[in-house]
Amino acid sequence: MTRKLMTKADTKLLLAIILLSLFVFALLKFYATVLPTERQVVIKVSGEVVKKISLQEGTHLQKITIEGKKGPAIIEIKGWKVRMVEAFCPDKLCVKQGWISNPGQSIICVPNEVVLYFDAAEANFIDAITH
Amino acid sequence: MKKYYPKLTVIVAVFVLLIIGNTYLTRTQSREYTSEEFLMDTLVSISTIGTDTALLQQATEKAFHEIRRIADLTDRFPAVDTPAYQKSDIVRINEMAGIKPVIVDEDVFKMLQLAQEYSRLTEGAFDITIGPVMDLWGFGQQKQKVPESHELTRTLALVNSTELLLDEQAHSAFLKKAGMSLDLGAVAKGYAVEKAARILEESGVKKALIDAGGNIRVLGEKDKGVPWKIGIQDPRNPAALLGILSLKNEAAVTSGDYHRNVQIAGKTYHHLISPRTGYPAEYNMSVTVLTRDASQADLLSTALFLLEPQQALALGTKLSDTEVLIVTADKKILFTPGLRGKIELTPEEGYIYDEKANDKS
Repeated sequence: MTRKLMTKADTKLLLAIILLSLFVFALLKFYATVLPTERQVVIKVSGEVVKKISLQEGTHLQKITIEGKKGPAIIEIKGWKVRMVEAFCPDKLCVKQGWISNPGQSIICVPNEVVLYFDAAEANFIDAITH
Repeated sequence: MKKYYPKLTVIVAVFVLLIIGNTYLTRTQSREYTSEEFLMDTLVSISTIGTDTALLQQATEKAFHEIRRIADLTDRFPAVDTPAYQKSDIVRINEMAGIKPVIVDEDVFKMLQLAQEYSRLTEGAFDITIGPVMDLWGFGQQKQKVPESHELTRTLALVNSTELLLDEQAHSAFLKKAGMSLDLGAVAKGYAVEKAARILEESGVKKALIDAGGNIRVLGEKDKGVPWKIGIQDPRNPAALLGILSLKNEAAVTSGDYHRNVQIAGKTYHHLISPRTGYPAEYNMSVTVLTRDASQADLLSTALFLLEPQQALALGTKLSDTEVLIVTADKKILFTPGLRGKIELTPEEGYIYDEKANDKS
């Protein structure tokens, strides 16, 4: 019996399978890294994430109260912007800072250990800010 | 009877190879491990990148441990009769001012030496014995007030780094006059960040970013051929950036007049007090310093902030491995020639910078 190991059709099939797998693999990687996820605001207390909120064009005047280390903090979300409205801290630096709207920006309330920032997925163009 | 299916074998083999290949790629993919802690009156965050998450985690924990230790050693206002009070070398040195030398931790000793060196470099424009003046203003405490000028004159007589005696043999520090005190606000954070960076490096971390409230130190590059991108905050608009720095194995620290502001009787005062006048220095809005070492960057950003812009720029240019960007009080942007190629300026309207003036090198 002198049958060939692979016929032409088999080779084609095999190539098709390999190409398809590579394509799917590349696609998955592409979606995982390149495409930005939706904009999210992350709220942390004492280094732990306590809430993540997805922002949409229509998110208007949403006020959220979270419990900081020392007391409550009220956060306002309006469209793509976020700010601290009230905070249980002596200096109110976080409130005075006003709105933040750009990736990479953050509001940090040291006494109450509350941090607000935009999710890193879209903050790719800068890694940190020196201030 | 056993039957042999060559085609099937080949196809299965290819699939198996693809799956193994894929798993291998995922396994060796770099991951980021980030951890944050509130220390030294600010948020300290450490982000590390590598393939071995357990290693990153352990290294980060060690680094935080070191930052906590430095924070305890240099804390100037711990509550009396707490463990923190016992741990602070600075409290002990200040308490023993005019009485006797105090044996201090090696790292505290190094910080004091470094701070003294910068006092000399700036001919006294910067001085860590500024403590009594800071206290007079009430910085770091509950209530702030503008001191009376006669009080300031009297207190300024206590500010003098040459009367901080450091004994290399005994590892001791001594403030000669009673009433003198140290304030390590301009060095402790940078020093702690630098030590943390060294610990990460020794633990095998190749890529990391440490950010202690804007005191930034990076290890390696973010990715092959991709430097870490660090924004410089616009001193007058917290939502804007003056420019973006590309960093690799170095530190960037900014001192600005928009930080730790206090309002007294409707006027704004910042905490960067000139040891010469006793009032907040008003030559500059912000000074950003890039060096290899975060403790130097921290000290230098404060020291240069206290100098007149041209003097600051000249000193920045003179020092090796040091780049400086200054925003003057009249909104001029000046920088050392070596910063070109490391910075992409994106200032908003109102800032003046002469690209050509900065273009000789």
